[in-house]
Amino acid sequence: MSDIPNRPVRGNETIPPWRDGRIIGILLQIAFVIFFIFSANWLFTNINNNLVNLGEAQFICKDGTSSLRCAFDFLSADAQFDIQESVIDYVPADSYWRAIGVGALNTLKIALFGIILTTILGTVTGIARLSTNWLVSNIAKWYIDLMRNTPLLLQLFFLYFVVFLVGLPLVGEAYQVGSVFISQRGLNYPSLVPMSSFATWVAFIVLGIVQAQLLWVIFGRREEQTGQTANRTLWVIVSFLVVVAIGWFVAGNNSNNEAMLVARADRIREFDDIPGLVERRLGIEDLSEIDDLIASGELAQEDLDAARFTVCTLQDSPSEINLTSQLRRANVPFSVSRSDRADQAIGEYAEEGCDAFAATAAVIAAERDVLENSTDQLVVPLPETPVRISTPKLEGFNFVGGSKMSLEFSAILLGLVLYTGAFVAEIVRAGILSVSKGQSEAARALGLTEGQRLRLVVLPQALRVIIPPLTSQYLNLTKNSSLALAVLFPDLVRTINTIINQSGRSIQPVVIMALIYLSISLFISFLLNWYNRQITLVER
Amino acid sequence: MTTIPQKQTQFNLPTDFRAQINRFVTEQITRSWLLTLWLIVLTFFTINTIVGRVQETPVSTILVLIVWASTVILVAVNELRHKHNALSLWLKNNMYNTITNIQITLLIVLGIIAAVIGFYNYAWVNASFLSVPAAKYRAELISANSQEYCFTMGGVDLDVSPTTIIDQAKDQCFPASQLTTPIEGVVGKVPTSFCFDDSPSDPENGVTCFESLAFNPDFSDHPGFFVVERKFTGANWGAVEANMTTLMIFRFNRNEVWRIWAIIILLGVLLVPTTFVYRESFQNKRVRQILTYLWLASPILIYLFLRGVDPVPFEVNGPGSVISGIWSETFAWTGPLQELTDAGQITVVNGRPFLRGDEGVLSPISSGARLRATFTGNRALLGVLGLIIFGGLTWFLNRRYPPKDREGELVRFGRAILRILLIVSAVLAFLALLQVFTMIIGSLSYTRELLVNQTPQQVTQPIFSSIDPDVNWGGFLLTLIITIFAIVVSFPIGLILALGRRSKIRGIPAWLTYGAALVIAILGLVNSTPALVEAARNNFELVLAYWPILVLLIAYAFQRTFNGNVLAAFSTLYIEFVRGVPLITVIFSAQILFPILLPPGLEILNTWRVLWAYAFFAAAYLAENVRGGLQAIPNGQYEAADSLGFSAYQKYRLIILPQALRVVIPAIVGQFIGLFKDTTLVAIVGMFDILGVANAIAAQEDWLGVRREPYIFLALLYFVGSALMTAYSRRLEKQTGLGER
Repeated sequence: MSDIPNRPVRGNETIPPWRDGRIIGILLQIAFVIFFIFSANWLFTNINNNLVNLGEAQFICKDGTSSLRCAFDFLSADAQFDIQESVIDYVPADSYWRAIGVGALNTLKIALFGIILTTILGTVTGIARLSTNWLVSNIAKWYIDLMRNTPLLLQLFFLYFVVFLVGLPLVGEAYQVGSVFISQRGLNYPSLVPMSSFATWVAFIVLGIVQAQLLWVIFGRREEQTGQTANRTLWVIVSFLVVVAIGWFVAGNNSNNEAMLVARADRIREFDDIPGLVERRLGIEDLSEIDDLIASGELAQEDLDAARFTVCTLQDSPSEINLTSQLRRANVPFSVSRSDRADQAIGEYAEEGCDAFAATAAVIAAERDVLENSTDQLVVPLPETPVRISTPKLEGFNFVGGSKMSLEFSAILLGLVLYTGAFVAEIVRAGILSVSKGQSEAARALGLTEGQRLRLVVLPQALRVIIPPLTSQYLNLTKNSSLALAVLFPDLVRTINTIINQSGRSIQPVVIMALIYLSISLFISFLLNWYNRQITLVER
Repeated sequence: MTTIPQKQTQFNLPTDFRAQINRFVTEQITRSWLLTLWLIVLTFFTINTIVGRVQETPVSTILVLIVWASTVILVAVNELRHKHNALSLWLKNNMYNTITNIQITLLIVLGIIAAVIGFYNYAWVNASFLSVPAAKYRAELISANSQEYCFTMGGVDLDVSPTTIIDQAKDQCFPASQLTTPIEGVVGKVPTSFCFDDSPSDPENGVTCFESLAFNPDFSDHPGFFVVERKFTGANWGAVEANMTTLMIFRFNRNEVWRIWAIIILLGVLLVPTTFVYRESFQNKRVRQILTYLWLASPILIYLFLRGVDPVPFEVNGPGSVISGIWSETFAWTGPLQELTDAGQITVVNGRPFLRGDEGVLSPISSGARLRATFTGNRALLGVLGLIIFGGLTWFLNRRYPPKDREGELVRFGRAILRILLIVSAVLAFLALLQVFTMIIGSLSYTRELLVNQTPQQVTQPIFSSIDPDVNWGGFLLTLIITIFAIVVSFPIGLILALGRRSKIRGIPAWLTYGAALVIAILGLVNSTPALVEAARNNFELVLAYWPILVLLIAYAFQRTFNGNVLAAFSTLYIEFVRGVPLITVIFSAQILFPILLPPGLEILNTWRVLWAYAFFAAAYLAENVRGGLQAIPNGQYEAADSLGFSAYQKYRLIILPQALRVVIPAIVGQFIGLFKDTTLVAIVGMFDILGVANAIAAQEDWLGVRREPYIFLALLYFVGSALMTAYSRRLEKQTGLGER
């Protein structure tokens, strides 16, 4: 590790090779390499001997022989354990490989959302730390100090076991803000469900982006050539929105993919006939009277339940969302029964279980012939929009519809964001402080607006200081996501842990885990180094 | 904003009054429509909040409002008068400089007041400080009159037996005005069931209920005995208080706690002189030398206290054959001979060991095993003998032929060999010394009175009885052990790694690297690849069969990136690998892989695995910090050291490292704080550091599910610990003059 000094050569006196620092250094390095190889070999022998003691079960092949080649063969076998949350489809009958993939994707999910939210929180807190209001800056300081000086794991435990599991209400008494429900089951919030015409609409959005770009360039050229200033931001946004709006209507109205199957006897020709049907059943004039009638006691709850418009549909299908969201808007009381497969759903419909069977036109066409009295059935096309909103609704002890963020994921995400946000805040603060006051004063003297001053003068210089430490914070966040294990979220470490217990193999899963984390770390640092190079070009 | 016309001290109302108001309105409200809109929204929100708070806690809210309004008016008036005093100037600059800030200040103060009141109620007013759980316990009525009722509370646990003392009994009086629950029936003059309410505003909280035991046949002759049940909604500090010892030392034998006190006293005694001995005025003084040696020796003592000594070890053969000792503290050595001995397969006949076969046939032990056992047994003897022989030889040689500047190669070589032999035998002798030391310590015993099988007995036990780290180390003790071990061990490793990564020594020449790689590649391609290609089951294995090509690629990358410098390559790869994986992965790997990587029979305690994992992990991060410091040293410093003829060791020891380390003190302390916090991770892998113990409290029957209070206590502990380390780092920075030069 140290350079051995060379003696100066006097006259024609030469240094004998055994006293030449360079040669001794090289020999020592070679000795080190040989020592290293021998140690590695020793460890490898130990592994072999230990594995023999463990019964040779570690590297077993399919044909029963034991060989190093087969070390990773067991990963193709069925995992046989369940994973609560997954980005991709996963069932216990899937292979270990897929289970590892699920774990890695969950880790990436935490890292992705964590990095985005941390950046926002860190920036806001960093700016609050510099606030002219003494109270604001001191509260930010206390928050930062508290987060930085207590262990992350303690914070996670506190968040999950104390704040979430004890502090949050049961499902029945969930906090409700609009259509967002917060309870011990996690966070349930409305989601956007793409319908079959979604693709068409996306095409229009792409078109809108292209023409917005074009307009931007054209306006810019004109401004350069003629000197006429135009509010090109406004123009570009408006034209983009117009194209998108046109796309919305075109895609929604020209599609007749969504449909429902109803009995001819119900006299439903289009969607707008449904309220009439229910009104006839209840014997009232207007559906909006229902609440009043129930309240005054003129209408019994049982009668209302009997008169509901019942829909048979497929589990998690867009068709259900499409129909129910429209029924809800039309004040029609309805109930939904969901089946796993199309033939089950239509079977239920055939046994007079439902008023309508909602599905895509193709499914209805395929399944309709199964019905004995198919001529008595009518296919009614349903209006659709490219995207429908699915809102969560409490049915029994579960939420139906919408999207869900589990308590475990919320805990690890919130914990990491609060913790790392404090570190990022200090970085942002240091970055902003590093830009000298004179720069801002110069920008103001040049007549730049406040927005331009921030965007063109302060931020580019602050970012140069901010990015390198920010990179290491992002990496820390990614690595700290391994603590998801503590709040029972199935991230990579937890999945690997389960695999080790399940399969009895220990070396291979650990090696894979290390490799995956290494590649994630390298990828993130590569990405941010690249970005850092981009912005350091601003330097003089 | 802070500029005040200083000279303009007299009143100039009302001439510029209107102008000032106008300026205020244009600047603060109507500057842009966005600002106006924002102010409207904010004002609406503020009023809404005030109304809400007034309904909830009228007194404090109105008090805050009055203070706020009066200070705002004060600032406004002083602003108009162009004459500020210290208070109004500070308020104007730091709280009331814009309308937004005026409102936000109020909102924040209201929020803080609400939070403080809430926390005060939770942590103090409604809290329980009983170190017995909220279960039932017993009380005895001492006196009762129209003003108050007095009881002797606690002292008897009903669940166990009426006579078992579980807690210090104490007297407590309740004012009669707090009596709430209707009285149901009276025995003698005392009602059978009643409650006192400490805080009538909250019906659920602070209720102490008494139920007479007069109907219980066991207590029929004690009409004043009651079952007491306390109900409270606040903090359960008793959970922390009752488990304080457990939180601190977990399962460390309670009658060995004096050892921990001894360590604390030892460290205290060493720390006090340290604060002034390591100053310049004490340079080259004997005191400092002694203190340094004491510090160096302290780990051995601390280890002795924490770990204890195994009973006097078993002898296999030969004089002084001590298999156990300090060495076996780290490795529970169960080598071949020891294993056989334990299995009863070795018999000693006439002082010679024999192997007992299946049918009782004795056969001599193989020479290899004997040699190993003899060496192990006699290494102490070898060490002492070697020290005497080689030490004497060196002394004699140095006296007869004093070392000169220029001497022949052969003489130098001879001296070097002698020195190596001397060092080896010194190490062996040192181990022997330690063994003798531990044997003496291990045989020391003392007699004390202990409860054995519920009856007091005189028991003789060794002073430093062995303590199993895996079982008995825990709590805050384990946290500190991990932190300090990792800091102490990682420092030299990290230093070496940092120097290695920056080393610029001439590497292995390219021709040698490529030549060796080529030879390996050709040998591999000829000998191994064809067989592998044949056996390949899929394309991946087919590609993998051509691994020799990878050797060439690695050789190329090695030459290209590191110029053949092995040290830089090894250090860089190690640092980057460790920094690329999470700590929990490293701990997991250590726990799982250590037993597999060590030879069969050599087992290593779980605690050591984790400790070494922390040390190796911390070393990589420390290396990066030190490297930052090394980069900050200008080249001139190296050149100056070289031109003075310093050796490499002198150069780094005296010139480079003192400067480099000084620069990175804040970074290193920050890393150590991180390490201190990261010790909690062992709680995930089934060890009981302080967080693990806190989790275990919630699993106790008495304190089922009580997590909040232990966690708050832990947060406080860590906060104070980290703050102390930060403060020490600031002092160190000042001491070493960082930022002054």
